Amino acid sequence: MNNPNIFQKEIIIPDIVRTKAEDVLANLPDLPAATRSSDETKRKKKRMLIRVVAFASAAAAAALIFFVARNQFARKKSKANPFAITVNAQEMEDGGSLPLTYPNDFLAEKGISCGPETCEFSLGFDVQGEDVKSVEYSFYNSFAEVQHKGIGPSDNFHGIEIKPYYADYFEVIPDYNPRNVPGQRYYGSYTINYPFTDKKFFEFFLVKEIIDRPDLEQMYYDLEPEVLNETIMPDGSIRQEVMPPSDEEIVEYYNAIFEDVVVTITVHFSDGAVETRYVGFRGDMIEQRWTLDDGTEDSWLYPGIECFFLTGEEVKKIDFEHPVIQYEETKKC
Amino acid sequence: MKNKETEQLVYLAKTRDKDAFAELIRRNMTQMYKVSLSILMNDEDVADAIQDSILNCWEKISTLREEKYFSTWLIRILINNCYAILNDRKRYTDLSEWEEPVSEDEYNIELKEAMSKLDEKYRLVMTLYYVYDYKTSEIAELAGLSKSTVTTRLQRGREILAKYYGDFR
Repeated sequence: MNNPNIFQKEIIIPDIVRTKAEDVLANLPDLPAATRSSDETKRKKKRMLIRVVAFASAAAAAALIFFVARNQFARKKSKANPFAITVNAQEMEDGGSLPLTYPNDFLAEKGISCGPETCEFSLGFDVQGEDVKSVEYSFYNSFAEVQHKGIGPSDNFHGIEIKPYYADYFEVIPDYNPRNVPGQRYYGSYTINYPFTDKKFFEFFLVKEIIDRPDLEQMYYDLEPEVLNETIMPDGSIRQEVMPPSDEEIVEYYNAIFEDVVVTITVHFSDGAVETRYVGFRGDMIEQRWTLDDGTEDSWLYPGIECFFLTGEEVKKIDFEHPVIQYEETKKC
Repeated sequence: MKNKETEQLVYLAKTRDKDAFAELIRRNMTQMYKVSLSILMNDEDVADAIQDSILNCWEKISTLREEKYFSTWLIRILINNCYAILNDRKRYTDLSEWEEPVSEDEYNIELKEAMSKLDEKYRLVMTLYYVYDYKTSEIAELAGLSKSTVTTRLQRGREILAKYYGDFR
């Protein structure tokens, strides 16, 4: 056989594949259609946040992004520690476990990225060559109330899946359009792991929704996109053309709501050792502009990330220079 | 025109039009098969991965932001489901004894034979490149690799196939 185009040859879909596919297509469950909450207005509002996610994905950053949906049942919140996270990486290759707990004294007041309904920050921890098979995580509010728990791989919550990639590589696949479901506090998460050559690195992006802050609520409503025009489509749905808020307004909003988020990490190694690890943030946003294939220009904002390990062995930096980020060995965190 | 048609189908699928969704899947079936085969090399697992992916997509299509990215989105989900299956397979197999199965399925012998010459890491990028015509930057994003890694793997994959089949461009 001497065929350079073997991958482009016509093929036959095997019966087993076709039958199973047709079987599931013939028995698709009845599900509700998309609601107005995912219409164009919301799309515009969420534009920047989604792009941050896209950025993180393209960067293959080891990231866990928690989106905290709007709390419809507002509670009083402590300014000291409104938000914390515990991560337990378990099922190590050697059978041990690696519980990771974020101490309360880590203030993540920097490195805030912005979106119309959420704010986010990032941090990471290094497990140094351990082979992690799964990650268990939970996070809770200032009342030590666990608001979400999950175990990866193969965990699902609010449409988010955690899937193993390789034995030491996890990915939480985000919804492409994370839903903001009223009454649900969290609506998305995202994890990617750098397949580092010499260590494993996890990075987290946390997105927090405002809770019981009338001043911020007002800012939020001020960010409502202005509806320029509304069209009723043939199918009865409504399409809106809107003017989204400016990036500056969004940045201001998110910087305001992010100021008292608290995150800390302690790494427990399988041999019993415990280490606290911290990662810093660069507290600004970077705007990246580029030209699309069709010649139009587009841009997005993404958080500047600078990470380091207080244990002193590593201080490295991620410096993303292009929106379609390619992970570069020389720029790893 | 075809793109517009696809976007219209995606739009309808998001309103839970099952026929539109089924049509979308059927249009992508060949590519889905080739991509999942490149990872799993086994028609039975491929069938499972595709089935899971169809369900995942149906459940989440309302969250797809832009209709024009349906195909990329579908393949991304498929790739992840394939890796989940691959990972399960490895989890329950003694890795020291595990060998990549060479498919004995009766279908597409030529394609499978070519793929069997390649390691999984080359198969996936080669398939995305040659089957889907994705750019290296798009493959990098889909597979979670750097662009330079994709380029290297494409080059290496070509070299390996060229060794068996002569020129491969």
